[in-house]
Amino acid sequence: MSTTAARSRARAWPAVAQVGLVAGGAGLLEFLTQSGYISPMVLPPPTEIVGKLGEIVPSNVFLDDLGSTAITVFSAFAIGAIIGLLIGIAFWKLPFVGAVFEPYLVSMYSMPALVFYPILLALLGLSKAPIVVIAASMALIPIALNTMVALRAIKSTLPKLGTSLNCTRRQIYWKILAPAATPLVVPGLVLGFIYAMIGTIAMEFILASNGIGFRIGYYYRSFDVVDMYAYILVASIIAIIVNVALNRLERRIRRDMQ
Amino acid sequence: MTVTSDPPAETAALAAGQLEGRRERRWALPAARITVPIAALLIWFAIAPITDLVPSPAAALAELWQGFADGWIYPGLASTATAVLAGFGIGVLTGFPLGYLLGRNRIANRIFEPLIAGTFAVPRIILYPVLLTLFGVGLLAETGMVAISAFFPIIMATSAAVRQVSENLLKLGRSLRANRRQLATKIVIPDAAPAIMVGIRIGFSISFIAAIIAELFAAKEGLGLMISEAYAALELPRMYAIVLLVMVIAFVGNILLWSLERRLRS
Amino acid sequence: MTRSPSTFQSETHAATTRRPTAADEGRGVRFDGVQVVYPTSDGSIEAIREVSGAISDGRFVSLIGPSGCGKSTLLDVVGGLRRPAAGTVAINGEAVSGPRRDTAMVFQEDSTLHWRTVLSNVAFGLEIAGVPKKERETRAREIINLVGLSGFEDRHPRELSGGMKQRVAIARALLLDPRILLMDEPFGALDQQTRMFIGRELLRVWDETRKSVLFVTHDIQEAIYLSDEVWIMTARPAVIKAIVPVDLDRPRLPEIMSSPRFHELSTQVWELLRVESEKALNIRGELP
Ligand SMILES: Nc1ncnc2c1ncn2[C@@H]1O[C@H](COP(=O)(O)OP(=O)(O)OP(=O)(O)O)[C@@H](O)[C@H]1O
Ligand SMILES: [Mg+2]
Repeated sequence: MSTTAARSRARAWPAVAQVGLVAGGAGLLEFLTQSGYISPMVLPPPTEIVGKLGEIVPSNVFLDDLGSTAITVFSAFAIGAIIGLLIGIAFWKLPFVGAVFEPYLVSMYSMPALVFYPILLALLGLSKAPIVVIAASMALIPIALNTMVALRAIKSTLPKLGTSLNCTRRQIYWKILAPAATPLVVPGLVLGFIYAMIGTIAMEFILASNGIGFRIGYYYRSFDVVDMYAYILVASIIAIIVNVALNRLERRIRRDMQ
Repeated sequence: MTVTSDPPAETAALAAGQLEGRRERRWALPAARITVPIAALLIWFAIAPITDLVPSPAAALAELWQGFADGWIYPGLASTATAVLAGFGIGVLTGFPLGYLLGRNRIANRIFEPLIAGTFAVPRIILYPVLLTLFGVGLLAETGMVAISAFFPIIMATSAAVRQVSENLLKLGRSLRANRRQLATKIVIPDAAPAIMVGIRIGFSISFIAAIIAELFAAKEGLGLMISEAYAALELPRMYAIVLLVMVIAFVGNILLWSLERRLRS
Repeated sequence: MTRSPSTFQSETHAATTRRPTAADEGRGVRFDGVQVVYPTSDGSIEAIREVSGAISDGRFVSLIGPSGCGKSTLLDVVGGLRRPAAGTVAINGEAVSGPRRDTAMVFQEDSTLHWRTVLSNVAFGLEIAGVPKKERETRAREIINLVGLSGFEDRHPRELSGGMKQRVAIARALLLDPRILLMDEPFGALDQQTRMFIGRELLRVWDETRKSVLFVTHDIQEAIYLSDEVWIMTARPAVIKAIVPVDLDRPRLPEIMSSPRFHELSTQVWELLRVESEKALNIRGELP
């Protein structure tokens, strides 16, 4: 009993230190802002920001923005996932095609695909469509690459095993290849979702008519510093929660599948 | 193989890329690869006459040529280059040593790594307004934005790379009575160099992207600003010309760092 | 003819092995109730229960025992890389508290620096010790020659076979010219012929320099061929089960392996080892 308690206490110390650091940092900023060392035009006191957060979160403006951003992220992810999976499967089935396109796909990782945004704005107008296109194109890259790698990594004995057991083609795909590839495909999907979210918020920030990213830029432009910080905070918290939740999910799936 | 953040995903892709070596018809692959951008260009040519929203590639290239000939591109190019290089430099100078510390010090690692990894999904650009309120619109805020963006991939990659240094080599170093500095410069860093370079390359790409996005939002000068001005004025050939230039710079920079990385890997 | 570790210095064996003289008193490696425990997430593993004994100066001692019994661990302790939970190791009368200049190690796993050439790998120990480049490289070339790697000075480890990499590690250790050489299965990755060749070279170097050697191996023949004594360890938690003195004449030629005495010694070591190997395998319930 006591040893397990001690052990869990030993495991908890980094969390304690992390909470302490964040709280200490916030406390320091609170002191610096309250005492006037930092002008409220640059940074309002953290308590004020958090108070504002309490007002914002139940407001219609926020819920509309959240809904709009969420719809964009999910549509971009859905499109990116379908296209990415198809590309990954195609690159695996047709190794030559894969080898031809792979370097381009990999270098798209580091390409500012985002600079196409103005072009898409010109083509599609100021709507959700250009954002969805950009975010989907960012999401599909890790999904396609991971799917391809996952399928290539499957040992050739597995499909042979299927054939020897008289599996139909469909059974080989769904009962053997798909589960075998899942542990590597899932991280790609997780990464794809995160990229879709980053792309969406970043694009909204540059130019959009609603959404969480837009609202941050909007409050900056209207010199509403408290709201701006509150939105930055809420956007960060959402992103952190999504990240942690997806990583947990990924770990669980990988553990169950391996 | 773990694919939980971007550097490993890239390594996975690299590993997959190694399959190429075994392919027979050696000329077929490069030839097919070259046709991809050519095909893209042809598609561009084909689309241009259909819609007013897409200028012909010829017009865009002519505009780009003009930019260099008349010189209107230089101030923006110089400004963006300054922000990218300075910000990227700061990102390396802070991210690398801190990443080293994080990878080598168990306590620092346990405390800070989850904090940093937890913010992986936060789009860094939303911090730009903070920098703008702090420094005002201009090169300083933009450089800060670039530095923040470059910092994270570099610190994460360095920390992971340094932590993966083989236990054997560390043992060898200790048994030869290497001091801290020798251990770092003669064992840990050389062993981790290829993996650190992946982070630095990604950091560079992200620096460039961050500069352009920041400029699209608010800047006094820069290629991103020129893109958004051209968009606002509906000067489409100019907009396409600058986008093309940005792509080329990103591509070339990436290729250069990639070949450096390949050299370290071998 | 076995002895317990505590009676190590008794004069029972043949006169052909080098006798310690008065000047040697306290020189060499002395183990005193060494116990090693590894802390793990759930409790701890006792790798070595109790090792006592001595390697007097200039002796060649082989360590043999079932896999996972703690041979590498014991070497780490002598090399100053790991502190024992209890007991001490003393070298020339001084307790070991960290890596020393007069010991050099050859590790079981590949420890070549893959970004360096063979030459600079071999010279690495001297480089760390601050020997000027010219001098260390001249000396490194001689040793490279000795281990049969000349012509490969400018190659990188990835261009070498496993056995060649291990020879690089041996050369690196020899170049440090230590009083005490700690070698962990240095020939493990070598084929039989190279093994014989390098073994003979090692014996030749040893004959000239008379370093103390602690040599881990799984190969009974090799242990007997090379050593003055073979120490047999029990399965984990390890103690020294027996010490078999090797009373064969030196210098030894490979032909000695077909002598009747060699055969007797092999059988003796094998019998002692077999029980332990079986124990080790039973504990894990699986074949290695
Ligand atoms: N770092 C470590 N942490 C925990 N346990 C360890 C560690 N290193 C070794 N052990 C345990 O200690 C025991 C002895 O290990 P050691 O490497 O010394 O064995 P060995 O005799 O060299 O084996 P082999 O002949 O296979 O090389 C093993 O059972 C191993 O599981
Ligand atoms: Mg061992």
